[in-house]
Amino acid sequence: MSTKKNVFSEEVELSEIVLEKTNQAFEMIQQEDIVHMGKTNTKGKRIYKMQAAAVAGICILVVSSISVIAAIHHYWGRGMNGNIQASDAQQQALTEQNIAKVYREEPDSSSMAVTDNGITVKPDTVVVDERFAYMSFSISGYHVEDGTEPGFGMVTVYQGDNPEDESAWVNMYGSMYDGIIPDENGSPVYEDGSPLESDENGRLISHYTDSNGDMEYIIQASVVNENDSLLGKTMHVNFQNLGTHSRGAFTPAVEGNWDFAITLPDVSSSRTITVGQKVGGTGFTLETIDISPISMKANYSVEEAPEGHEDDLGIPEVRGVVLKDGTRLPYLTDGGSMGYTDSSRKNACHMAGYDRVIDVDEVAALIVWTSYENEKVEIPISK
Amino acid sequence: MKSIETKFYVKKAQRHDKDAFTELMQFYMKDMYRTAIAILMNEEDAADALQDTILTCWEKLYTLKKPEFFKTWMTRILINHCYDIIRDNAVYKNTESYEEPSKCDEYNLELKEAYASIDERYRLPMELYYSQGFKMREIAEMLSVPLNTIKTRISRGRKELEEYYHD
Repeated sequence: MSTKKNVFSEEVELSEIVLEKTNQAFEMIQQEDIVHMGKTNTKGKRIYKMQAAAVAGICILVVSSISVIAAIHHYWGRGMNGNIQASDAQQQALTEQNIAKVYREEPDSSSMAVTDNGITVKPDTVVVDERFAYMSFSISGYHVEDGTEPGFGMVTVYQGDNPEDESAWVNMYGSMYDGIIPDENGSPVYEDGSPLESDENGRLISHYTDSNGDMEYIIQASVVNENDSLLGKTMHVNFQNLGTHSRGAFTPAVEGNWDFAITLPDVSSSRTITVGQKVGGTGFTLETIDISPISMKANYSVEEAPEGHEDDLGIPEVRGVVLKDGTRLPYLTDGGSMGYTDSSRKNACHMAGYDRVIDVDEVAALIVWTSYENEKVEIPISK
Repeated sequence: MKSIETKFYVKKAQRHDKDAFTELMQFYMKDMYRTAIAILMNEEDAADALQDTILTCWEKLYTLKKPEFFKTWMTRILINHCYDIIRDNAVYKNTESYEEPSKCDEYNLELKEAYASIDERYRLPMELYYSQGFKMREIAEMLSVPLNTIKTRISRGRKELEEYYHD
């Protein structure tokens, strides 16, 4: 046998020319930073504290009204609350309004569980509006070694009854919740706010299991067609095989098939607000927004669509909000989609979910990004 | 850096956090280098490709809608830059005389020697599959080549590499 090493697992050394050129690139980016980003970074740090204070304020208000109506506490699952962060009071309010549903509170919750090969999967919490559905599933009976990333081999999500029909398609992202959440600056921290830690091998320590030893799988689904609605729809979710993920490859550990049909809540929490204001620095007018506690859709008109570059359509993107008390949430919006809504390219929309629940009544202005160069404008809204 | 961490760093970088972006790119630097070498087999060209890729990613990161696909997106940009360099070199070499190999090409000789033993069509799919953990389907999409072609290329490349190991 040859003594030659396996080149695919062998560590490489970066040459001087590679280090020189890549460092040049990073320096160029840093220089751009000095020109464009200095003020923004300073503001970002100040916003952190203001935001925390404002959320606390909202909690007190809602708790005082809820305490009269209901004594039951509707706690969302651990993973759901990490995925779209909500205070206890916000969880109570949205669940009371049937915008969220906690399945483990249902009298027939045990009948919703599916067990295969000793692993039980059951729906835990669902939060829905017209455009987005956040769904969490608890997993009992499966354990992985520290330092490994658990996951399913395949996850299929569609709405309606015919998975082959185009109307069944949804945009979907899913992952096993690992106890790590974004803080107000978007940096990863553990769910109790403590900084991330690594093990002796330098691997990030994750917390996939809760105090009962269960895990939670989180799905964020959204409509493909901007005029579609998820309210009251039946969402089919199928999980196949459990195992671990490493370097993009899945290693199965337990074969199984867990299939669910979930009827989503049908209560609308979204409201349409007429804005009718130009987005400065662009040819777009923000005509209306459809805004809910968990997502937003901005509707634009434009006389002449700007020239696109690769997959940049030039459509402004709502990234955050300013609340009435002055609190800024500049990084509120999460994944979503955007595009022109007619063939003449005179109308466009941008849809996005949030990383935390907001009180729609408290929104005073939108923070809109208008270009790659990180140009931002604030557009006041009145309700 | 795990997928969830990547997602966070991508999101931070999309918010114009330069440190997060630098950390993200540094994390993938050796994978990028290996990919570039698999195509270009030359340190200076690989350095240019990596530089172009870093700047393009910074400029276009805003367009990435799904942070979890960052590595696939970045690798596709890198591959395109590598092919641009090959095209430019083809034009350039028509008018220029032969150049001596530069000193920096002495790095990672075992890797380059092994790559040199594999047909150039097989090198990149093998690198992406065996070293970087991409799925064959992802590689097929990335290179705009049918899945069966990728399977064939990886299989043939593996045989060529086995012969190299046994020589």
